[in-house]
Amino acid sequence: MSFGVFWFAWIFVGVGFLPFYALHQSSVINLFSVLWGIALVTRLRQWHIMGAVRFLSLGLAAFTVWQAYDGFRSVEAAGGLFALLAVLKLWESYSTRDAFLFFLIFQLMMIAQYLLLESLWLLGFIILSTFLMFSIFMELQGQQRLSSLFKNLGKRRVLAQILFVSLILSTALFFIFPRSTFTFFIRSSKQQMHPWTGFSAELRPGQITSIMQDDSTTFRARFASETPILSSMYWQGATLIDSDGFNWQRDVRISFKGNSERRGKERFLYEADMAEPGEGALFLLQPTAQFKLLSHGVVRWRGLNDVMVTPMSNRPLRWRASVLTELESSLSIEEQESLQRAKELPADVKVWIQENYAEFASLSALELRDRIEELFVRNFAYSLEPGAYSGTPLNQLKTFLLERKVGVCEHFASSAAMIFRAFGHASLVAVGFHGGEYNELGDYWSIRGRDAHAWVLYYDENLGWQRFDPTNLVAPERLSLGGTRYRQLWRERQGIDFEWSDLTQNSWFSGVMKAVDTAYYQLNLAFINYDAEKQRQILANLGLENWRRAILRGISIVFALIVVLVFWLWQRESSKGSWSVVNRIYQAYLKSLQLKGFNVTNSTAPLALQQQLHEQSYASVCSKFIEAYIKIKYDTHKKFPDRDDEKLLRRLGREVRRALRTKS
Amino acid sequence: MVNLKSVGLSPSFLFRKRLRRLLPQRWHARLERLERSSRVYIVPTLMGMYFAFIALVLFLIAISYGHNLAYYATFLFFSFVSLSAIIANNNITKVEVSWPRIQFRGRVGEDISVPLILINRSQFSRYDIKLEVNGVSVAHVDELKPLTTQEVVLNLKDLNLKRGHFKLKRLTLATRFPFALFYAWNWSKIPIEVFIHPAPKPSRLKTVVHDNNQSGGELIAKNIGSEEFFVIREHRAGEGLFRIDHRLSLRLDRPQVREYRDQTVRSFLVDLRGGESERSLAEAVDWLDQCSNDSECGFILPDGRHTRIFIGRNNQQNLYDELARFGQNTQELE
Repeated sequence: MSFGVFWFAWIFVGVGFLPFYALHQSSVINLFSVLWGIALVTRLRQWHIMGAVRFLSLGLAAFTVWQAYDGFRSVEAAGGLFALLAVLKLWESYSTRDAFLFFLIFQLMMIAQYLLLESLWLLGFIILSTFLMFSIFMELQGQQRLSSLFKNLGKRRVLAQILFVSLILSTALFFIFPRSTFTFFIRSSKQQMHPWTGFSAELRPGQITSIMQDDSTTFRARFASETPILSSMYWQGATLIDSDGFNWQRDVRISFKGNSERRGKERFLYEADMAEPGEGALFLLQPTAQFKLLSHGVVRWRGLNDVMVTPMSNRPLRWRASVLTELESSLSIEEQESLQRAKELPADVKVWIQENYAEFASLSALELRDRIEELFVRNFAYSLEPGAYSGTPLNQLKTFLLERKVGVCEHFASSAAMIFRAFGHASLVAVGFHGGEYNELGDYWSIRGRDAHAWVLYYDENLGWQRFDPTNLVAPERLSLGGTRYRQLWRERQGIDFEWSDLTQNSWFSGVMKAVDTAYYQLNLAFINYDAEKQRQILANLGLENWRRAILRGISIVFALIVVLVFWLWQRESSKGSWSVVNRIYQAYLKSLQLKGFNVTNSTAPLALQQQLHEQSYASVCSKFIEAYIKIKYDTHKKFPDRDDEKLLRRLGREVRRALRTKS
Repeated sequence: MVNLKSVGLSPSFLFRKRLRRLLPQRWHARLERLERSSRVYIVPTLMGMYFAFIALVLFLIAISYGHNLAYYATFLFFSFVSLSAIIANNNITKVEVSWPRIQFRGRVGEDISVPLILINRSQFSRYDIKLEVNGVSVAHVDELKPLTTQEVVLNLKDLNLKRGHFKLKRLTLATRFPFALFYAWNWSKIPIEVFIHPAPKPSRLKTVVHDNNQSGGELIAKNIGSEEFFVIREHRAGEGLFRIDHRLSLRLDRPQVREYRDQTVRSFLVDLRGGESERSLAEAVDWLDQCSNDSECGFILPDGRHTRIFIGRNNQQNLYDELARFGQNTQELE
């Protein structure tokens, strides 16, 4: 293996493994890094690693994987083992065969990684790595320096042809080949899924503030026809019921009737796609009418619209849902118990609130809501950087309500919910997102970290569960303008000059970013989220809904054969005989004479033709052509024409045609 | 014979060998007739089979897990593999071989270079073409430009040819281009003969040549002849004066010397009988190397057969060939 190939291999294995560190155990990552570094050092220093050392390292690698994954029977273990084998292969990469074997192991490693994660970036990586790998294979034939590949135009052209046709063929087969409506294996590995958003099972002050710093897209949603107004676009995630006075936590045992999907009048049908694979709460517009998870996963309904999903594949989750227009307020006996839990509060907090806000006592939920509104409107301020609150939960609450009076949505929601509870009304804190950024190019909404939001759900005896968003009172622009624009406005007010996100608001840059985001989203929908249902939809759009899987399978095979056949014919055409160009030019010449009215056929001898043209005024040009043709074609010393001959004939052919045109 | 153990054999050679092993004897002649030099044969290489296996595994994974990336990677691999087969197949077409000479000679263990001319009659370049004899790559052409000829030198050293007379029955043109996943080949009939002479070994025969009286029983030599006039040339400073032709010097106005050369025609008939025959042959080569070009010589070969008596340098070549052929049938290389 030349040094150039080694470099490629070394970079390949690093880029193919290390970016997916989150999928592997730290011990495997560490060992990989060490072995990877040793491979580089030994190569640079030209050190030879003894067979015994390599054997011991192999044993160590196998043992580490066994320990990390509790055996070899999981996709993660396979991925880790292949990664370590690949890097160990780099230690003894001397011959061309070693290079081939390395890339084989590398591909096995990548296959394991594909199973652990499905993302559009990985698709790009597959195409790029396959292309580079085959480029290296091509170069290994000549056993020359790797650099010569990039110098040889002909080889590059062959490679480009293969890549071009392969991309067309594989993309077409990808869409045509019938998809199963089931899978034999769903995620049975021990892979740890990560929450998407930074929202965890609890809400601590400052959590949403940090999520709001994140500009990356969390999920995208596309409405079928009707779109709700921005201010009412509450993407509700988890509902938090347990509180210590200022912090909130989820309780998986709590459930409400209103938590499950309900049939009724529905509006705002939408489909949403998480940007990344992960697990946690889904974000639904409330109240949800119908909900369907479009990817594989287990759905658990826990609170009011609190839908927890554990994915069964490593694909970003997709779901379809709509919004119910009529609310139900009746509670079952079991729910009464849950409702009781939604009124619990630490005694000291309760006493303190009751003492400080004694005027709120014996008010109905609706009246209390009005009073809380008045409280927050009067003296409180909304800030995207409210600073940290410290001390016991009660102290934090006191500091917020009496001293600093500055907070972000989570502070207001948390305080309001506790005031409700202190006076005997059930309440919860709901976390999720509000609004989003509309992408008019792709006609969808991007919901980003900066749209993170928290609000209150309180129980009214007459109306049932109601949403109350104190932020609406303190900073109404936050809801009417959306997270992105409000952030700009707030920064202008604060006198903060420049932030990276300003660039994205620039008109042309924003347009470019939207176009890129649209392309990314559409490609994701097309490639990563392509499944049997989408295939059925496409067939239905084409009026072929009755086509069965067997027909599709047959079409896939026939299509592949046709493409391969066409490529073969194309290549055959390109390897036609050495005289074909000369013959073709001569045939074109004869044809132009025929059009001019000469009695010539394909079998007319060139000399006879010359005789025939002798009398014509343009005979000299034609004679030149024929003389050149005879000289090239019937020169006994010439086995085949060279490029100059072809150029000469082409030039003379052009002159003949020009002369004939002038004459006419 | 050709030592095949030390080198990796090409798939074309192994394919033919295995096919013959599989088929009954009576089919071998028919198989020979079926083979056409214009036909391109193609088989997957070991790497090709590995890749096909990986693609199959990926496909099973794709179906089993409903995994889109695995589907795409499967189809991408399938495309690359199938298209590379077509490229490999075409890469060997329209390439022809011509040969400027038909006889080549060399000695055991030495480089034996056989120059050939490759002709690319296609409109496109051909890449990474290997020329193989007996399953061993003897030349590699990185690129053969379209509509051009290129001289290629086959180095037969890697064949480890032993002493003998070899006929190149066929020359295999093979390629693994573009990705080494397939191996395509065709072959050309070229009437090339190769004589592998024994490597010389110093022997007692060497000294015997100069002393006919002590030649012993193993060397029979006749010494007939005398010095004869050869050429007239100008006298050089420092030369003796006794050879100056005064008459001619006066005529040409410069001192001229008459030069004589030993025109003795020594006829040697070297008896190579007795002792180990290969050694005798090797010693005979050494003796022949030392022998005067003008000598008349021949051998009594180890089996008692007399060679013809050859005179002159060119004809001496025939004696080397006799030594190469001794006890060997003409072997075919393919």
